[in-house]
Amino acid sequence: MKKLMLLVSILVLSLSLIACSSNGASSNDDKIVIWTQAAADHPEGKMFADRVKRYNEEHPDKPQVEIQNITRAGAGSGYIDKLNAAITANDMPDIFTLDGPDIAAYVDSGLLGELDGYMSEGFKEGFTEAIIDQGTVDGKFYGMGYSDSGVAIMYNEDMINALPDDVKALIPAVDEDWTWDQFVELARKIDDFAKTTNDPVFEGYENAVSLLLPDITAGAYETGTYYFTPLLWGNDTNIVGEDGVTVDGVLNSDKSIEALTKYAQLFAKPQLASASESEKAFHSGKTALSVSGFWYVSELTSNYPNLKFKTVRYPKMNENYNGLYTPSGSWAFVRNGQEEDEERIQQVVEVMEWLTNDEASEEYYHANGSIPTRVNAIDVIDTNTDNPYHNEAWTVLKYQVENTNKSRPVSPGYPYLSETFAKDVILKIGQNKATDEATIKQYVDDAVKKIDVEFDKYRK
Amino acid sequence: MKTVKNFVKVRNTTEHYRQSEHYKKGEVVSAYGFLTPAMVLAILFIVLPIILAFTYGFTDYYLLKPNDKQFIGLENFTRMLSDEVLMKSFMNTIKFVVFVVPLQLSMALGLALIVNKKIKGVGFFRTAYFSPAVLSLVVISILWTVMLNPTSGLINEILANIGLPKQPFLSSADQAMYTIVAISAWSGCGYQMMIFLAGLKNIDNSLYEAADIDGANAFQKFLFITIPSLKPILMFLVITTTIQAFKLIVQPMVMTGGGPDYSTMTILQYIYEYGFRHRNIGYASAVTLMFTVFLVVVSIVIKKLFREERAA
Repeated sequence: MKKLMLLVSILVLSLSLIACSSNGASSNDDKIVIWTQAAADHPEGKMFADRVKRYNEEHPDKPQVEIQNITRAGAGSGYIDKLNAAITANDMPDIFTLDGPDIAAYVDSGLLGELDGYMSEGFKEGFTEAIIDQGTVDGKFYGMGYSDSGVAIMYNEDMINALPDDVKALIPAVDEDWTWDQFVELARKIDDFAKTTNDPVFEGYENAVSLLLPDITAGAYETGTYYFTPLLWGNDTNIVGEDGVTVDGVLNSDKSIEALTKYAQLFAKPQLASASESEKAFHSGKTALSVSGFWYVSELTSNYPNLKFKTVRYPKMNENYNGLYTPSGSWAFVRNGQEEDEERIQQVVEVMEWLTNDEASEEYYHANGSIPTRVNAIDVIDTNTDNPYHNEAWTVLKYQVENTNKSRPVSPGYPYLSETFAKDVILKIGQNKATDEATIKQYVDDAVKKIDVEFDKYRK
Repeated sequence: MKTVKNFVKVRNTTEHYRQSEHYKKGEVVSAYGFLTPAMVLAILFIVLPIILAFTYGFTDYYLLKPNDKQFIGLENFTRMLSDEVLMKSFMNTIKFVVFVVPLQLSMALGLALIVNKKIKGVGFFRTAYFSPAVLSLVVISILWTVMLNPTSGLINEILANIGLPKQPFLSSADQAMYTIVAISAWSGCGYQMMIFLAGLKNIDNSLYEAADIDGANAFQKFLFITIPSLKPILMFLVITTTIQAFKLIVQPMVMTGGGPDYSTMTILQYIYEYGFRHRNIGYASAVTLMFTVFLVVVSIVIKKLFREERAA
């Protein structure tokens, strides 16, 4: 009996040791391994596969590249879980993708390798300013963004055409800036009209504006931060300081409270937006206006061909503000910081350049509608197709990419910061329909308190 | 001859004994052989992680820095005392358990009594009442989220059509948790209904006949015959339903994200969010440890009550 128990124990321990052992790298010395969150059958996954295949064909004398697709679910989980497991097991690939705002946390943990000193001359400067900022932590460049993004305001053309002329006059031209106050005024007038008219175009009308707040409820917290942090930027403030860890005095500054109070006017009675709007509310004609991500363009043109949507710029919080303020940023390629072999690092960076150069940027736009991250590739954005709605939307987005896009804050605690801002401020204002400054300040102060406790570890 | 007979007897007995012992040893070896794979998996995936989780609770383990864990003593535990969201999550979990257990069991017993009647078509109703129990909780949560949409959901459309005001349901901090309680009770009661049904079928009909002769009404028969007869099953279901209820995570995660204003955030969801979203494994492990201790205490209390009940 005792011998049997001893045998079993030895067996268990042996199995544990086998399970825990690792050769320290998932990549074969002859191969450069890339992990991406894009599914293999998704246009993004296919475009990477094509690009990698071309690299291997054109560089037969160099280490071959292998790309592995680890499909993400929701807000990056699935892929992120596998990445975290690889980190714990000391088994990271040579190159992997990360959402831009996440780069700082991985840099802070010593997991990413810098790219300065390994890139071709002038390569970094070929990226747009927002993409360079996104990939830069403490003055060093770590992430090569392969796709940018953008947010604009869309409106339902049929609904707007039914409005009185004095309301229609409030809509800016496609090349005109406007302010958040003007946006709210327009929404208010649309709502007043919609509730009194019998025009059939307003038959399914629910609210004036779609804000995608239910995405936050569903766990995609980044939607809230991505869409609405720019309201603070446009008022010359932010959700965190330049050091990436100071929130007190920044997120709860007077300018931040002012911007958030103006945002909250969408929920003043009768409310113009809802924290629990119907799914695809703008797409299905339930709202007249929408704060729309760039992906709406292909969604609407492909799946909702009957919806006539027009596009105007993202509104500024303060009309006197002249800096960068529109949402931007997306996923980027980064390299394993634990690699020490200089030659291999050079090879890895060469592959990363191949995946994000001007040619790649153009190919990704054609394959997937990805907004180019390279300055020289921005002109590939086609604003002369047969679809005038598509053309107008991309004219606005292109303008913003070239002139006003700003990267999200660089902070090692960005996930927590983003989630707390989205849930405890943006969503909470919408759910509780809080519109007075004092209540909003309370929400923000509570959020700051929580974030401060969590950020303590970054200050040590 | 007698000696030879005795010798043969002893030899045969010894042989038989040896064969028995050998047989027993063989049985034991086989038993352990079959148990070993399960034991290995249980140790690797249950016991070891539990031990590791408990030790991580005393460290500052950050998921992205697995080799940089430092022992920080009771720092994680003292942080819990001032963590308002944690306290709220804990109270939400208790609230859920307190409401869902009696509601779910009452619904289950009620349905079991209904489908215990020998009427035509009762099989259909039995299947219908049981069917939510076989659906995925994620699917149920998504369906109900759509139906409960305060603006365009089916439930609010029905309420509006019968002249009642539309309700915020999951969008209200006051209503969200109770909505989740109701949905959870609805989805889980089918399973308990089947167990109650089995218990009802085992009650001796002569007891009801005797009660009829004594002039007992339906309620009296229910109170003095049905309930006492179902007591062992009831206690079993109270224990299992309570333990299951403490593990609430799917419904709030899918339907509300823990909101509005953390009104539906539960302990398990909090642990998951802190451990994997915020990568703070050390703190999440400390919370796990405290919650485990709490559950052990609850189990002991329920077990003691159960023993006293049986002794009585």
